[in-house]
Amino acid sequence: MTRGAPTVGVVKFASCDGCQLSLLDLEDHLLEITGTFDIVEFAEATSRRSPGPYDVLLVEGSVSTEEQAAEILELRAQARTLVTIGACATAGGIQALRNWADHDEYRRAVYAHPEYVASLATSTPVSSHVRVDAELHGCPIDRGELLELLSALAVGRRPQIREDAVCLACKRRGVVCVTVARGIPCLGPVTNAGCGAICPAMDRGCYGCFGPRPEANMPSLTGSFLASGGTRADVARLFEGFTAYAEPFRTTVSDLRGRGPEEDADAQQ
Amino acid sequence: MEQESGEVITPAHALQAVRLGAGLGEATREKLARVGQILVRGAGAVLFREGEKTPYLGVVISGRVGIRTYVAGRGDVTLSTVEAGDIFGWSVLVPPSRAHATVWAVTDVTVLGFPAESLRRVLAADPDLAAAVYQHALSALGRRITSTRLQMLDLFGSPRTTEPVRPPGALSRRLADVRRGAATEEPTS
Amino acid sequence: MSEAGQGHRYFLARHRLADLIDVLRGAGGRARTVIGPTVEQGAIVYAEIDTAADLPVGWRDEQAPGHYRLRREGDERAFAYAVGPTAWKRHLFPPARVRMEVAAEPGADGTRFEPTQPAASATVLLGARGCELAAMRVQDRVFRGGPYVDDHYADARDAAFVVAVQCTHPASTCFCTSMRSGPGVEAGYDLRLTEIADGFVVEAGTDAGGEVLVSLRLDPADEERAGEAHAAVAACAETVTHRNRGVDPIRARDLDMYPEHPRWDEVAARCLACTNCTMVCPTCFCSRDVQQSVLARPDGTVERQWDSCFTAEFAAVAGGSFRSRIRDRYRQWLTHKFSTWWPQFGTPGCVGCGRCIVWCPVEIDVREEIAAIGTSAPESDAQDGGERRGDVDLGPQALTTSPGGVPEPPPRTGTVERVTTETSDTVTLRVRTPPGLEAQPGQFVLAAVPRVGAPPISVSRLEPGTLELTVRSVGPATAALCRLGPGDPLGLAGAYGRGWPIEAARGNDVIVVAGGIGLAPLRPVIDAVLADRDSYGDVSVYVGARTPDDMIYSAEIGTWEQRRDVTAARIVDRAGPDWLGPVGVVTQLFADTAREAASTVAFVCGPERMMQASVDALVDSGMRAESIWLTTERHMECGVGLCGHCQLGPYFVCRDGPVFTAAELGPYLGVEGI
Ligand SMILES: Cc1cc2nc3c(=O)[nH]c(=O)nc-3n(C[C@H](O)[C@H](O)[C@H](O)COP(=O)(O)OP(=O)(O)OC[C@H]3O[C@@H](n4cnc5c(N)ncnc54)[C@H](O)[C@@H]3O)c2cc1C
Ligand code: SF4
Ligand code: SF4
Ligand code: SF4
Ligand code: FES
Repeated sequence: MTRGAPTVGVVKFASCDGCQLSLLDLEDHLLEITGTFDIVEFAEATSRRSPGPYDVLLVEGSVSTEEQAAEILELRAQARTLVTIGACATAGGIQALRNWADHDEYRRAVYAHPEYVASLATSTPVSSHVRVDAELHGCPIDRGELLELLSALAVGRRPQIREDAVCLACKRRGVVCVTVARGIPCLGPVTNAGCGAICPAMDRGCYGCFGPRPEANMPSLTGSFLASGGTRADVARLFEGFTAYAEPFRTTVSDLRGRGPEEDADAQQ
Repeated sequence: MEQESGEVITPAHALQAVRLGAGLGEATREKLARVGQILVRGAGAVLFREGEKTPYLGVVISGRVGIRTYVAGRGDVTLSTVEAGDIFGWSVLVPPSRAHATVWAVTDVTVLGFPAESLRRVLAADPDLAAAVYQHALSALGRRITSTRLQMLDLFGSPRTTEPVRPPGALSRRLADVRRGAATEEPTS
Repeated sequence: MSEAGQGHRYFLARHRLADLIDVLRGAGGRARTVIGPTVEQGAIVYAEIDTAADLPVGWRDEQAPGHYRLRREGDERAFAYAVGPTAWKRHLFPPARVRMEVAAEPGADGTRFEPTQPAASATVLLGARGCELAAMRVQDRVFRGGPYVDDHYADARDAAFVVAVQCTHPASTCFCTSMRSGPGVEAGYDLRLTEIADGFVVEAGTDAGGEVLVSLRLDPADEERAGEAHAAVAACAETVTHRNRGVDPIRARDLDMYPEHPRWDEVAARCLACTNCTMVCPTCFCSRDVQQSVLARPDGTVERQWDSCFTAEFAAVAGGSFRSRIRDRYRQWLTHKFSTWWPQFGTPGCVGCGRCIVWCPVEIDVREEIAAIGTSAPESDAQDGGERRGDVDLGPQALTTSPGGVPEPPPRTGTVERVTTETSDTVTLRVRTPPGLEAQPGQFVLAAVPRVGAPPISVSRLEPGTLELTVRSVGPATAALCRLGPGDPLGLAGAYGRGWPIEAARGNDVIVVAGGIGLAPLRPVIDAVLADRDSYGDVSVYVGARTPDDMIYSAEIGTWEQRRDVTAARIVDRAGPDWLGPVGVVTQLFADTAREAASTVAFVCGPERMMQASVDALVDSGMRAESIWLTTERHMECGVGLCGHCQLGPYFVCRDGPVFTAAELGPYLGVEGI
């Protein structure tokens, strides 16, 4: 740690820790990271607790409980820059799927003692609660993008992270389009690049885990999936992954399913 | 239009020299000039205030007239200025003839004013004159609206204030603002 | 040339294909990498070939809009397919390459920008088709036809030995005959192959090709085989022509005349802005420069990566994108390919390979789009009065390029001498000019901060040995420039672009209209005119700003206002009670003054909307659009005509501008999304 170095905190809400661990995964760079930044809070690696303020706060996980909803407000006030990392924090994550289900039933099915789980009826992205300065997408996030975010912060450049379609990454990598050459439905055209086109490179369609691009043309893509023989339920299922709760995936799923997610007043303030 | 100091200026002279008068026939112009008055005000003087009945339709003969409004927390804000040859106080022509802003002398000014009552009387009596005055006022208003629109666009404003909600790369853009030290973070909820 | 020269046809028996590949790989000593067609990931792609067995022997392709499938025919043919998803640009202009190494170490020499040197290894491009050679010639014009060249491309191109294969099995999506690029191959090859039943008819196009034939000791092809080859290509041409009777590239040249055609909205509703079409297109050349460095390390690189006009940031500048809607981007793509490429490079940007049709996930077919817009456009829509452009020879086959430009230069290091604060967000840097850097008023430099970026900045004052840059902090790169202090190093590339025609304005009345930071590029004009005041007629300077505090060069404007031989005035959008000047828009300062059309020249710079209003006011006051000069802002990456970002209709702003006349920009000012 360097004196006067920017302070960084890493906190988590409802999530699997996978994204935080991406930071530890940057093994080769850990010493350099701690030399560049002052990591004042990192639940996974230190027991240090800092009340803030933070120059940069990385937030993992979705907001699922009332305590969390209150805590994120508190943290926002302490953070100069708040960056959400991973599909849970940016889009509600896989747990957001329960937003479409009957919540109590879900809870009974998942937990042995549902009465102990004081959870909000929905799992919502951090950005539904507070303003977010930057997002690292993905489930889990891409280590390279995390390193770029930190590097850009260190030298003062705009992080070289773009909201391109996965298709751009496929083509640069020389991956042949799985939709055109094999008829596999793929969410790449409406999904943020950043993963390096992992799934198409493994002969699978993109699951959209880096979330919808800002300008995703959903009617056109779902129209083409339906035209090539998928049922409405088949097509809805394609979007019911890690980022289903992020617009415009959310509306698309609701339209295809014919019903929307349970909106809960607690979660939406 | 330039007035040598000391020279006495009559409404008829003044009117002849400005666009409003130049567009009228000689007899009509005389008729209008007869109800006009020359007003001289020192820099800083208020000609009339927002909310008052507009006392007259004015033509700036020399100097600069400002149109301003009061914004709590920001004080008096000048929204536009009226330069020599242009009109102000058009609300006199439209009931209820209430001034929409405060008009003041930015510099020493000479103004040709047509008081509300007598102006209405000559216009009612002469439809041709009325048409000419209204047309002139309308075209002046048109120019002013065009300018106001451009001002509203805040073309020279900071790009950040004109950003769409989520422009390309907006997220990382804001992040970079922090490095720049430009971000003044207020707690958000 | 040996007897195996041009015009002689030889026969390569099928079983000797392996020998050909061996010779190509460099049996004669020179090791060469052979890149050729092979089956991978369900498609025929171009990859490294070791033996003839790697070729797609016995495979057929089936291609349609949004559809590609391979099928095993089981015969012996190796080239019985049409072009697949890979284009040769992948090897000549790779998806990503390090362009420059940078460093920001302490000390005077610590700031460095070192371009990477091209070092292409000898490569054989095996199986290039007619449309693909045409595409290379199109890219030759882009990358090595201008004053600045991409030396890596040029090197890779020169190091490539081209084995062309004439087409005999077209896809339903091919329209090479419409674009006059195939199916035959007429030029640009070292060897040319035509596949027939029992082998190949082979011809040499160069001495190097001839040598290969000599070492293979081939027999001449007999009449029958030569005839079979000829007939196969002719039949292919026939099929392609028959299928594409409606495709009219001459009419397509007019596409840019219909920016408001309703079809743009229809196709935009389908288009995903996914970039696939531009990525697979063999002529698309756009790129972005990506800054790379790790944490606080002082060294880094600039990587040049494929980019596409369909991406959100392609036309973005601080404040928003010039093409914010998918409609704008689709229109950019289609008009560029078929229309604006012509004035830029003298050819169409499309060679009719059909890749963009096949690889579009939602089956958008450019042939249908050009037909719908080109032929159903109401005449009254035409921007320049419905006048049709004449017929032209489309054949990129016939075009060659004479290389002559210099490699894109890296930034040179200058030193900041003085920093003047202009407003709360703007500073002026006076920089000691690095040796070799020459600038004219109106030109810009790329002001490079290692690891951060190199934004285009106009020269705001020129003096012997120094130049000034006035920078407004709107984002990280400009903020980094604004943080520089005296003695700090700074990279400068350029100066680039067409400047203000100050010399030509001599003898005329001069009007300068500036808004906001737009005064910066105009200050050298004012400097030059005032330095030679007697050579000009009346001189007027009108400056607009947001508030009095946002006005740059305030003291200097005061000195202009004092001069009796200059009319200078300023106006602000809003002001407090202390401001005694006019409030309103800049056009109010001059709209009422009549102008002598023949002897007045105007120089205008500011936000685009303000320039438009100024042009209107100047034209209303009697001026001609030809003598009103404007400077435009567009997103820029390279500054030298290579990255494609700064396009504005037919223009590259970095090269053809940034200074234009209002007449040149007329059709584009105020059209949304260009
Ligand atoms: C010919 C020309 C002359 C210019 N002269 C000046 C000048 O004299 N003074 C001045 O302050 N500014 C000038 N600009 C604008 C300046 O280049 C941009 O403000 C700057 O690039 C913003 O970069 P940033 O990283 O600070 O901001 P960001 O918000 O990060 O910029 C947005 C992104 O767009 C990219 N970009 C590329 N070109 C542009 C562009 N033209 N405008 C905005 N972003 C761009 C940047 O690289 C960046 O990635 C000029 C622009 C052009 C085209
Ligand atoms: S525009 Fe389409 S058909 Fe034309 S060269 Fe490009 S990819 Fe091929
Ligand atoms: S601007 Fe032209 S060359 Fe560049 S990606 Fe778009 S269509 Fe291709
Ligand atoms: S035209 Fe097709 S391939 Fe091109 S961006 Fe649009 S959807 Fe993608
Ligand atoms: S082509 Fe790169 S900036 Fe103009």
